[in-house]
Formats: sequence, C-alpha cells, structure tokens
Amino acid sequence: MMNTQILIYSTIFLTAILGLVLGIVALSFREIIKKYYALKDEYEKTLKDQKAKEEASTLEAKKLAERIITEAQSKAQLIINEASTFSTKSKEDFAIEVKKATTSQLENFQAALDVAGKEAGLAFGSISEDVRGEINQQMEALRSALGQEITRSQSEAKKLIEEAYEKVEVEVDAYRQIRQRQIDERIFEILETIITNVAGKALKLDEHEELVIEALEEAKSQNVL
Amino acid sequence: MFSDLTKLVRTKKEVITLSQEIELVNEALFQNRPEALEIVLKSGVSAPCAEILKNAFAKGVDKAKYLKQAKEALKKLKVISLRVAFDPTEDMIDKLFSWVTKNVGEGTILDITKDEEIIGGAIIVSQGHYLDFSLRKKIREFFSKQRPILTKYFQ
Repeated sequence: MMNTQILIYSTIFLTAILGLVLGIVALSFREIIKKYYALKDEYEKTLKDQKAKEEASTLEAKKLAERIITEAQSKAQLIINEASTFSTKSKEDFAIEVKKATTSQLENFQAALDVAGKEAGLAFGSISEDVRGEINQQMEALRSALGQEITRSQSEAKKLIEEAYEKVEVEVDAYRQIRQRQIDERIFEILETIITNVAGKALKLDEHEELVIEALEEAKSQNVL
Repeated sequence: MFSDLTKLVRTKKEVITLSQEIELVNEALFQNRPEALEIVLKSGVSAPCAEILKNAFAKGVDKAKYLKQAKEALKKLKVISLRVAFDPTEDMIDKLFSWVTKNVGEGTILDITKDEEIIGGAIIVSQGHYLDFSLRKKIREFFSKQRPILTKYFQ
C-alpha cells in the first residue's frame, strides 16, 4: 500500500516534471521559430535592398554614360562647326599668323644657331679636327634644312594670302556688277517716268489733235477703219 | 431715208441723246391729248430734230413706224472708239468727225473717251481691231529699243 502510494506520487511527480520539461521545450521551440522567421525576413529585406541598390547603381552608371556620350557629341559638333566656319577672314588671319610665326622662328633659330656655334666652338676646342669638321658639316646641313623649311613656309603663307585676296576680289566684282545693273534699271525707270510726265504736260491742244489725226491716218493705212 | 437724222450726230453721246428725243416723241403719240405731240416737238427735242420730224410727218408717213426705224438706223451707225488724253472741244470733235466722214465715209460716228494715262495720241478700236498709237506706248518702245545705247551713254 505504501509502495503503491509512493509509486503513484512518483508517477505524478515524474509526469509533472515531464510536463514541465515538455512546456519548456515547446516554449524554446516557439522562440526558435520566431527567431527563424525574423532572420528570414531580415535576410529577404537585405536581399531586396541590395537588389535595389544594384539597380540604382546601374541606372546611375547608364545615365552617366549617356551624359558623357551627349557631351562628347556636342563637343564633336562644336568642333565640326568651328572647322566648317573657318572663314576667309580666319584664313587670312591664319596666314598672317603663320608668317609671323615663321619670322619669329627664323629669328629664334638664328639666335639658337649663333649660341650653339659659340658653345660648339668652345667645346670643340679640345676635340680633334676630324670630329669638329663632321660636326660643322652636320650643323651646316641642319642650317640648310631649316632655311629651306622657312622659305617653304613663307611661300605657302604668301600663296594663302594671294588666294584669299583673289577670292574677295571676285566677290566684290560680282557684287559691283549686280548693283550696277540695279542702278541702271532704276535710272531707266526714273527717266521714263520723267519723260512721260513732261510730255503729258508739254503737249498743247492742237498738238494733241494732230497726234490723234496721225493715229487715225495710221489706222486707215492699216485698213482697220 | 434717215440720212438727214443721222447727219445730226457726230458722237455716241449725241446718238444716245437723239434716241431719247425720238423716244419722247414716240411716247407723245400715244397720249390722249392731241396737242402732246406738238408740245414735245416744240420744247422737248432739239430744233433740228423737231424740224426733220415735222417734215417727215408732213409727208404722211406712219409716225410710230418712222420713229422706230429712225432709232434702228441710229443703232446701225458704224462706231470708231477713240481713247485720247484730253477733253476734246466742240471744234476738235468737228474736225475729227470731218476727217472720219471724209476718209471712212458717212454713217460713222466717234465714241470719244478721255484717258490721261496714254499721255498723247490715241488708242483706236474699230471693227474688232485694237490699235495703240499712244505716246505712252511710243515712249516705252523707245526705251526698250534704245536701252543698249542709253546704257552706254550713262556709263
């Protein structure tokens, strides 16, 4: 009897313990599940943000690329326009500048050659005559080449100026001819008007009559009356 | 038969006036008052016209028929249109009409209009022909033909 009671109480106690353990396990499981879902949500959110950032970056990069292309096109167009509007005046200015530049360069080269010659004279004092001769020869060749180049540049500049001048001269001549023609036409119109007005006022009545009779005689001679 | 009447007119305006006078006489014929015709012939029409009509009526012609035929005869007159640059005087109309009667023949009248734009001379329209003998045309032709010479002169 005693044993039975002990057994019963033990069973009840163990059952209670088991129930308590099961409750704790169940609560723990519930917490874990909650954490799992929270983590899952966080993961998905992070993934979504990441995708959004990627798309934004792609879009930004695309816009940037388009802007760069547009700017490049604009600049290219600007360069083309500037190139195409390189007017006759600009060509003239350019020719003048080329001439100035060549003159300036010639002076600079001359000065540089003089300095180089002096320096070379000092430096070559200590080397052999053969080497000095060779160097002098090279210097002379260089001087000659430079001289030719300068002459060619001057000739080209002169040619450009002459071409521009001829073109302008042709244009001016054409314009002058057009204006001359217009003035001639206007002179004739004015002259015709003046003569018409003067003749109308100057004629006397008997002269009018005479002209009408002449007209009738002319018409008769043509067998029209 | 109506030459005495047609000799009264030199211009188209005169033809219109004479036609109106004849019409007036014609209307008088059909009035109930016997004196109406006499009144019109005395004061409603020009003296030469009244004289001619009186003479014709005195010969016993059918008055209405005569007047109708007279109007038709006036309509059949040959017309030469003259566009001139001035207002012609009566004397000048006489001279022009004399020239036309002498050179073209009787039964021809003038239709004269004024157009100062033509400067002088005349533009004649006759029998469907249009002839410009105006000074305006001559001046234009002169400038057209002489332009090369004038151009050299002005240069």
